[in-house]
Amino acid sequence: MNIIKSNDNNDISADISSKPRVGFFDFASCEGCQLQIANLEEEILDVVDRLEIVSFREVMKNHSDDYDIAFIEGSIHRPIDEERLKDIRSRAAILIALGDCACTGSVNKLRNDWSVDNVKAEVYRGAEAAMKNNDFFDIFPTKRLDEVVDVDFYIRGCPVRKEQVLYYIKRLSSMPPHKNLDLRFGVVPRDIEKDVRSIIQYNPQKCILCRHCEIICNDILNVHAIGITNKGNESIVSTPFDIGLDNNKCISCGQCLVNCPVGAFTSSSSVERVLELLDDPENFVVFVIDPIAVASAMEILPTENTQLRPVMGSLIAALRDMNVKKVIDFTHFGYLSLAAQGEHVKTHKDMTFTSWCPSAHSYIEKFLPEFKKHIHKETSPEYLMLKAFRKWYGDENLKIVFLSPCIVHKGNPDFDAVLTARELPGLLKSRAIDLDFYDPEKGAFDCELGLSSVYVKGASSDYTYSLPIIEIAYMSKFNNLDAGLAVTTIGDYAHELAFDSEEGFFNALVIEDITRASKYLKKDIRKYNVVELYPCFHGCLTGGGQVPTTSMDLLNKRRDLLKNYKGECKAKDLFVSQIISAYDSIKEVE
Amino acid sequence: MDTKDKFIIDTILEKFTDMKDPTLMILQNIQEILGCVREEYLTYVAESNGYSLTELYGIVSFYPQFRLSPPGKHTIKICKGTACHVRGGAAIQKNLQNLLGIKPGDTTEDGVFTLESVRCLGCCGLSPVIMIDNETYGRVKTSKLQEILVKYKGVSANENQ
Repeated sequence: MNIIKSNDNNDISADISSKPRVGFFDFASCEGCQLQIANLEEEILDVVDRLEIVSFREVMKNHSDDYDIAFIEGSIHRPIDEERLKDIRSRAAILIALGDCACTGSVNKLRNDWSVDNVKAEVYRGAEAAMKNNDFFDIFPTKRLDEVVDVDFYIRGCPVRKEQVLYYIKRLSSMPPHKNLDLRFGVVPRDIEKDVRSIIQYNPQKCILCRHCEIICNDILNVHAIGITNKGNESIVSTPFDIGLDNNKCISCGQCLVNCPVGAFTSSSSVERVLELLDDPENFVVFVIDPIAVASAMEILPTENTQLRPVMGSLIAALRDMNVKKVIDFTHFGYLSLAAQGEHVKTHKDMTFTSWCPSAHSYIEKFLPEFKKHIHKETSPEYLMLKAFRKWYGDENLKIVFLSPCIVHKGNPDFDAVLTARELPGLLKSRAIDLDFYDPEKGAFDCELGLSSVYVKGASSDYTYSLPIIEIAYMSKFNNLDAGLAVTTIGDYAHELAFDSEEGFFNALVIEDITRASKYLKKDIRKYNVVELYPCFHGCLTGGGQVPTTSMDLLNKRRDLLKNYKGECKAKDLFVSQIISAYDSIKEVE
Repeated sequence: MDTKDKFIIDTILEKFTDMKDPTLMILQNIQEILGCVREEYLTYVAESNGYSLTELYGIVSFYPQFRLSPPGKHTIKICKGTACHVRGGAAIQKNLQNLLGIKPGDTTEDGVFTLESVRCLGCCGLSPVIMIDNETYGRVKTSKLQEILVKYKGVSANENQ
């Protein structure tokens, strides 16, 4: 077979009149991946049928330098390895990195934490003379293959799965391959069932063991709820002793889910449940919308509008068409919560966690139980909202549907159904609703709070708005805010706020990132009046119910959508007095 | 967990306080002295030394050397090497599994037998081979298995030697 690689477009064309010649080569590794191939049993016949193996040190003595495809195991440690690899590259039309050592450096790269001299001294102490001027000991920090040469395909795994190798061999021998092919295609499903015991569900069939979820959970968030267990083909992401996420330290933030590149983590869908609720004419369905969720859903909603306000208008009109009785803006209860928290801080001198995030509460309960009493759920927007609904619509048929940026609410029995941004298009599609068909001007939120339609910048759990959150919290219950609010950044992702007022001196701690926060949390946080923290980066913008994204541009777009949607508040004092009177009207409800 | 086990683990933890990343050594020491790294030991190590249980379990489930439950009085090793495989090692394993009611890696409820499958016992001429404690049985037939097992019931590993 003649394989011709074009440098322009990564396409590889081949003349498949004869068998491709293949070589297997190894560098620093355990040779376990090659062993997987040597151990193919009856399938080896299939391989020999399709390929002509010209070099495979582990199983045969013959060697030839005339090959088209090179499978390479192991990582690069020495200049002589580097030369040999470059030589192989120059001969092979296709170079495939076989296994984790070749793809990432894997275990071999662990030694890069120390200097080469230290490593040598540790391993070969007393043999300095023998090592001198010997090429075999002339090492540099470990490199993976693509740090030295171009790699065409990567087969990952420790060891690789034989199905993947077979898949490549079959592809390479039957048709010209193309780069970045779906690795999982043609791989036999693993005999491990889906874990459905929590609101976050894990499907091992989809998992490619990339460890994104594990790194987020353990190294970034420090939650340690999930990890890779077992080895080889049985490796799965799981909890210790398979106790299930809910029994472990999971805080249901959903970051594993939005960071999973292949959708192995999912949350259970509530679309069916919502349709069921809407179908029953007896039900009084109240639909609560958090605008942050809609800002994210816009990325997957089929609509021509590019601004949040018209989309929201059309959405509200569409929902009313679907038999929803009331559509409520969740932000309003955010304002009420600010008033409640402001009042609380004024009357209680001890520290208060002002974060609304149920995952943050769960984090404190599980990891910092000594601060549990500083969480005041009675000031949270959900609590106030349920209280208000009981007052306004308090009958048995009241059904609450919440469109939320986070999956954590799915575990809250007070809501009859919780939709995430990802589920919204599904809901509309199931009723064949085209948003652009609805006039944006016709849709407006129901508001029983007497708040005028002025939107204030703030009251969003996104960090960029969190400073105003506290500003408003203070403003709503403290006079004389103009005395000045001083913001000091005390470390990465941590800020301190302080101001003097007629009522005394108040200060707050705002934390954007729990990992780096933990050190500030342990350090005498009772000296603050208010502590605000989020488990998710960029707050609810990247919440566990949002459309997955890793692009900063997309996040900034979401942020801009919300900014334009809210606009600037022109009559702050009026708005504040409206919030306070609204809060007072809800406060007394039992 | 009784105080004796706690004391042993505390001593082990203390031994490694100055070492950088001693997790694996701690687990190996616990298994050496206490026979296995069962759930309560792992939980205790996690709680007292700031490790995460998830991480410890990940390590324990990765390396075959660690046992999550104490081994039985007798260990049966079934050879799954090439020669034994060709001469019916799989059937032997299946039969043993049925007789004992356990899978490789597990221990019978009465604590007498632990079943393990191994790669090669090095006596391919005798295949198929099983090994119970230090005794090797060659040319094993599925019909003879029951007979072999009876010898070990109610006898401890030391007496048999």
